[in-house]
Amino acid sequence: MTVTVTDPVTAHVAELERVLRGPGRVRRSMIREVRDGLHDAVAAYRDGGLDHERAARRAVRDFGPIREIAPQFQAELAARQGRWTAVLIMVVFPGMVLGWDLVWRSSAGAHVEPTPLLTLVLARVQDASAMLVAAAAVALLAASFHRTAPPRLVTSLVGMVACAGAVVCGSTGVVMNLFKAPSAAEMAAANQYTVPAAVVSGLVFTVVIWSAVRTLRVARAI
Amino acid sequence: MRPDAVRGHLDGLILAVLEDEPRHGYAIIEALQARSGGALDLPTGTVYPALRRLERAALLSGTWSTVAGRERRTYTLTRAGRHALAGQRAEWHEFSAVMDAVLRPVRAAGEAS
Repeated sequence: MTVTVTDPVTAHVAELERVLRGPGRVRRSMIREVRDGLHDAVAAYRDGGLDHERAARRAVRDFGPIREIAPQFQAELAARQGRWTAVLIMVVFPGMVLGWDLVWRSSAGAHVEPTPLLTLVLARVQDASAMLVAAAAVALLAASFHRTAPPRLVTSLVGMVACAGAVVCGSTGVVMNLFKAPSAAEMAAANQYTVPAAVVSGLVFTVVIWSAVRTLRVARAI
Repeated sequence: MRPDAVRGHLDGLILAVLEDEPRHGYAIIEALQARSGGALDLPTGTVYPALRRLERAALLSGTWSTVAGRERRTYTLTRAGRHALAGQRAEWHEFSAVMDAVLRPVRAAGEAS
C-alpha cells in the first residue's frame, strides 16, 4: 500500500485555490502570494528550531481555516471581476449607440419609406437604456474604489445592470428589425456596413451576457 | 488580544507598518506582531485579502519585485494611504480619549479632579 504524505502548506494552498472563483490573473497572483507567505512562515519557525513538519503545521494553523479565510479572498476577486465588467459595459453600450448611429446616418439617403413611429420609440428606448447602463457602470466603478462599499453587493449590481442592459437593448434591436423586416432588408442591401454591424452587435451582446453571468457567479461564490 | 477586536482596525494597522518602508506580506505580518509585542493574535490569512482591499482603494500599491533573491509582492503606501492613515490616527486618538474618560474608575476620576 502506498501512502502519500502531502505537505500541510501545499495542501492548504491547494484547498484555497480549489474554492476561489474569479479573474485568473488576480487569483493566481493571490495564491502565489499566500504560498510565498506560508513558506516564509515555515522558514521563520524552522529558524526558531522546529522541524519542517511542525513548522509547516504551525504556519498553516496561524493562517487560519480555509472556510473562514477564503470568503475574504473571494470578496476581493468579486471586486476585481465587477470592475472589469463595469469598464466593459461603460464602453460597450455607448459604443453600440454611436456605431449604429453612424450606420444609420451613412444609409440615410437609401430610405424610401418614412421611419415608423414604433421604430422611433424603440430607438429612443434603446439609446436611453444604453446611456443609463453606462451611467450606472460609472457609479458602480467609482463605488468599487471605496474600501467600505460591500464588494459582493457592488459586483452583483454590476452583473444585474449588464444583464438588464443586454436584454433591453438586444430585444429592442430585434423587435425593431422584425417589425419592419422589409425596410431592414432594404437597408442591409443598400448599406455595406449594416450586416457587419449586426454581426458585431450580436457578438458584443454575447460577450456582455457571458460577462454578466460570470460576474454574478463570482459575486455569489463561497 | 481577540481577533474580533482587531478586525475593524486591521486596515489602519497595516497602513501604519508600511509608513516607514515598503514590505511584502509576511514582513507585514512580522511587523504587526513585533510592534504589538506578540499580542496581536489574528489569523495571518486575513492580512492578504486586507492588502488587496487597501490596494483596490488605492491606499497601497502592490508590485512583484525581487527581494533577497526571491520574487515577492511588495506593498508601498500611496499618498492617499498616508492621508487615510493620518485620518485613522486622529479618529483613534479621539475614540480612545472618550473611552478612557468613560471607563476610568469613578474614584480615580474624582481624585484626579
